[in-house]
Order: sequence, then structure tokens, then C-alpha cells
Amino acid sequence: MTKPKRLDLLQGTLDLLILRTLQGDPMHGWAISERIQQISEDVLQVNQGSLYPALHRLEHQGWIAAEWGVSELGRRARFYQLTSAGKKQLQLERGNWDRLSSAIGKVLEHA
Amino acid sequence: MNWNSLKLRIRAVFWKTRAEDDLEDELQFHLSMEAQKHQASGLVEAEAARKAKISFGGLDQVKEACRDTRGISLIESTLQDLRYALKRVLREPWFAITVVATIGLGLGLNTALFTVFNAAVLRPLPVRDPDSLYQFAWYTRSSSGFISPENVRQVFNHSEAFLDILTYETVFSKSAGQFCRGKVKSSYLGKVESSY
Repeated sequence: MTKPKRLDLLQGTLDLLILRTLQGDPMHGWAISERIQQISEDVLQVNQGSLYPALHRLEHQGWIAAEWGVSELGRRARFYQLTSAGKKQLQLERGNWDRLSSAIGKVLEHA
Repeated sequence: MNWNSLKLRIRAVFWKTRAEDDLEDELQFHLSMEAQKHQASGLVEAEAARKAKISFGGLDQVKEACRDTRGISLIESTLQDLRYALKRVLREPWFAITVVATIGLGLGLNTALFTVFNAAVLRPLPVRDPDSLYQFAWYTRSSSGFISPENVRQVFNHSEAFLDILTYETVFSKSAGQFCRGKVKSSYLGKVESSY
């Protein structure tokens, strides 16, 4: 059996995935990338080279806030949390994504 | 730029080592978590760390990309350029003086030339068709002078040779014990044909 190929993330979708992942408890960067990989059943792999710049960018935008805390294994780690502005942004981007994917789906079905 | 971002940028500029240390810690934490994961799946410590590093990619590139989001690279590199420029100027003062003098002279000459060009070419006399303008004066064997506006009117009012006349007078007046000379642009710009 061949393993399904890992897909690269579409431009702009990483922000959406990060925001969605942070909807629950605060998480550090490593946990975010693991979570996305697990839930997508290893199809989506988050490249660290784009994860951390994205986190910092989202922090600058005020959509997530960072705080130093202690990780599960007792090490100092930077935890990210969704802000209220981030919740709004998540809703907005989610709406955009739904519209885009359903539009593409329709074209693929009927064209 | 929002307030949140401004706060982070200010922090990054003034507490640079702190921001850098934080970034280093954050990325190192990621690496060690990744290494632990590999170790848990059966790799020896060194091999796990190596694999984590490879999958992470260039640490310095990631750091640079994170710094870019802070947007301080521009300020930093400008400061660096200024420091470098100052060092070079102090090391070779005569070279610097020559450069400054050259640029200064060039600028000054250009400004002067443009002022003349502007007055002569770009802003001609404020009349219609300035090329057809004549100035009248009188000459005798021993002296010369201009014609008074009153005389001009008398002479040219009945002439068909000119469309319009424009006259001005230079007036001398005494003020607070000193003679002042001023040119008074006088007044008359009208059709000669029109009755006067």
C-alpha cells in the first residue's frame, strides 16, 4: 500500500489553520504543528520555516497573544492564545474559505 | 500598523537582546520537543537531535523571517549604514570635505542657473505676446532718458501702430530723512484705440 502523499499548504491557509487550532486552550508552536498534522491524518505538514514567522505575524496583527509558560515537561515555552480580535478574524477567514472551497467544488462538479 | 504591533516593535528595538533570546529559546524548545518525539519512537539521542534539526530547516533563516515580521530590519540596517558612513568620514576627512564641497558647488551652481533660466525663459513678461513689446526712450547728443507716462499717452493715443501701451514710473520719495527709490508699476494697460 502506498502512503498518501503529504500536501503543501495553500498560500494563506496556514493562518486559518493556526487560528482554528488555537480556538481551544493556549498552545506552543510545536504543539500547534503536531496538532495540525495529527488531525489532518498526516496529510498536512506544517513547515517550521513558515510556522514561526506566521505566529509572529499573527501576534503583530493582534489576533493571537503570546505568553511564556511552563510546558507539560516542565520547560519554559511560549504559549499562544486567540484574542477576541483573532476570534473575529477566524470567523471571517473561515467564511472566506467555505465560500472558496464550495465554489471550486461546484466548478469541478458541473463544468 | 496597530498599537499591538507598535508595542512589539518598540520592545524589539530597545530590548533587542531580550527579544533575540526569546526567539532563540522558542525555536530551541521546538527543536528539543521534536527530538524527544523521535527519541520516543526509538532513535538514540544524538540521532534524534540530528533528525529534528534537519526537519526544521535553516534555523537562521527562520529567525530572520521572524525578525522580518517585527519590521525592525529596516531601522537596524539604516543605523548600521549611518555608523559605517560616520566611520569612513572620520577616517578620511579630506575625501569627505572634497565630496561635500563638490556636491555643494554643484547644487549651488544649478540653483543659480535655474533662477536665471526661470526668470528669462520660463516666466516671460506678464503681457500677451512679449516678443512684440517695444520700450521707448529719447536720446539727444548729450543725454538720454525715458518718456513720462503722460507723454506716452499723448503720443500713442492717436497712433495706430500699437495695440496696447504699458507704462511705469520710478518714484522717489523721502521717508524719515532718507531717500528711497522704488519702482511703481503704473497702472495703464489698455487699448490705444479706445477713447481716452
